[in-house]
Amino acid sequence: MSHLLREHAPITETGWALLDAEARERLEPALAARKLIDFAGPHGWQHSATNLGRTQQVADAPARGVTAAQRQVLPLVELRAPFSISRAELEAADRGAEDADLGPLDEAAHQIAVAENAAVFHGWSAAAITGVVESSSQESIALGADCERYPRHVAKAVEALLAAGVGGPYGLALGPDPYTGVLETGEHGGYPLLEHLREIVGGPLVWSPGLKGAAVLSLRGGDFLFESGEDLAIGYADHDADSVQLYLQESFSFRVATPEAAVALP
Amino acid sequence: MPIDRLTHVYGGQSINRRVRELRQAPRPRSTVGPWQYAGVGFDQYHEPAGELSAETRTFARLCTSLTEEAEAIGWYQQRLSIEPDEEARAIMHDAQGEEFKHFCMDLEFLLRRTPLWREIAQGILFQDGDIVEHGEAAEEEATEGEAERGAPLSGGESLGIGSLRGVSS
Repeated sequence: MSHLLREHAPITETGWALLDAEARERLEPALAARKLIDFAGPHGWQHSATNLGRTQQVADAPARGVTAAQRQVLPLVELRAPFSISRAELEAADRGAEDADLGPLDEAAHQIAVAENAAVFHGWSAAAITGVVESSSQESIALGADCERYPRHVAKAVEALLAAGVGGPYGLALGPDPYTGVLETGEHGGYPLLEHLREIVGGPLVWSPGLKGAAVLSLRGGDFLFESGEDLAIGYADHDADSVQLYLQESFSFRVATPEAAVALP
Repeated sequence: MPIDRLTHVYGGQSINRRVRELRQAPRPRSTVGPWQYAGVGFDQYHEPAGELSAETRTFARLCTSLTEEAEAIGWYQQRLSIEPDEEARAIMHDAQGEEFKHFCMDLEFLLRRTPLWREIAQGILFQDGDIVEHGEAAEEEATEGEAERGAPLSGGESLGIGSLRGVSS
């Protein structure tokens, strides 16, 4: 039995299949960072740290004539989003109900995706994660509220990346507000704004809950490194007569190898 | 037509029933593990059933079912090759068609639960040309892609999401 303790849950195989499928369906659209960065792993639940290949001198070696250095690593962080599912709804699903209420799972899936995106884009100092936006060595370009001007700003960001020798293709991550603005702007010079922006970056436009503003990232690889210990999974915590307490969980680290490979558009 | 209704045609037993009986027949003592009960068909598990997840047990059951369907198809093929009675042959053809359907349903279930297997199958099934070449190419392409995406192999309990590079928003 794994640490997720799924065998202890009062959930049938049909129920688990339903929960896993629902979680996948809700997570994949929201896991924006994974559409733009390098993903390594999963290396398993017991994988605890990312090798940084660096050392730090250690003072006061235990004997004379000896020097010491300690390996530096980036510890993985565990994210967990608890939720509760009604047993009556699971029983209904077992009987073939197509409309079982899995709202709490949907909310947990969204929240853990937002947390992963926010950690990757904006960093998480308490977990020693530096994000894409805050680590960028490129001058940021204000996105503003006027969607009609987005192509100009994005083109400028692409030009800055090219000038820094960072090759494409590039991807455009858009926070929820700017993304909605782009969708609502039908035409730009006779061309849908969405398509116009895609043409400029040469890669995907990604709806990115958890990102404030937008960012243009190189997709050439090797610049933004996400290391997965345990990939997202549903585990069991507890249950009573009415509900089952579950959680979505993952472990990961993130680091930026090339700070100039992204431009922030706050 | 349900295969169990054809027992009078084949002299006493349907193929599926015979398969089940053979699989449940008492085994030599040395082959019965501590997790097995005499006369109960638990031999689709190669490892102690209590240590396997529900997902893995289901996976193993369908693998066993797939094997049984393939065996039944082969047995019908042999019977058809020697049966001179046209009416009996027609029934056997019909019954073999049932086994084709069962085999395909089992296979589709397993492929849906095993992305790597599915990807390799997509490179081999329903393709013209050299089967071995397609197999080698499909395996290489799929395993490289799997590693790049970081998706787990079958039997894991994660959601298997991994990298989403190339997935549209």
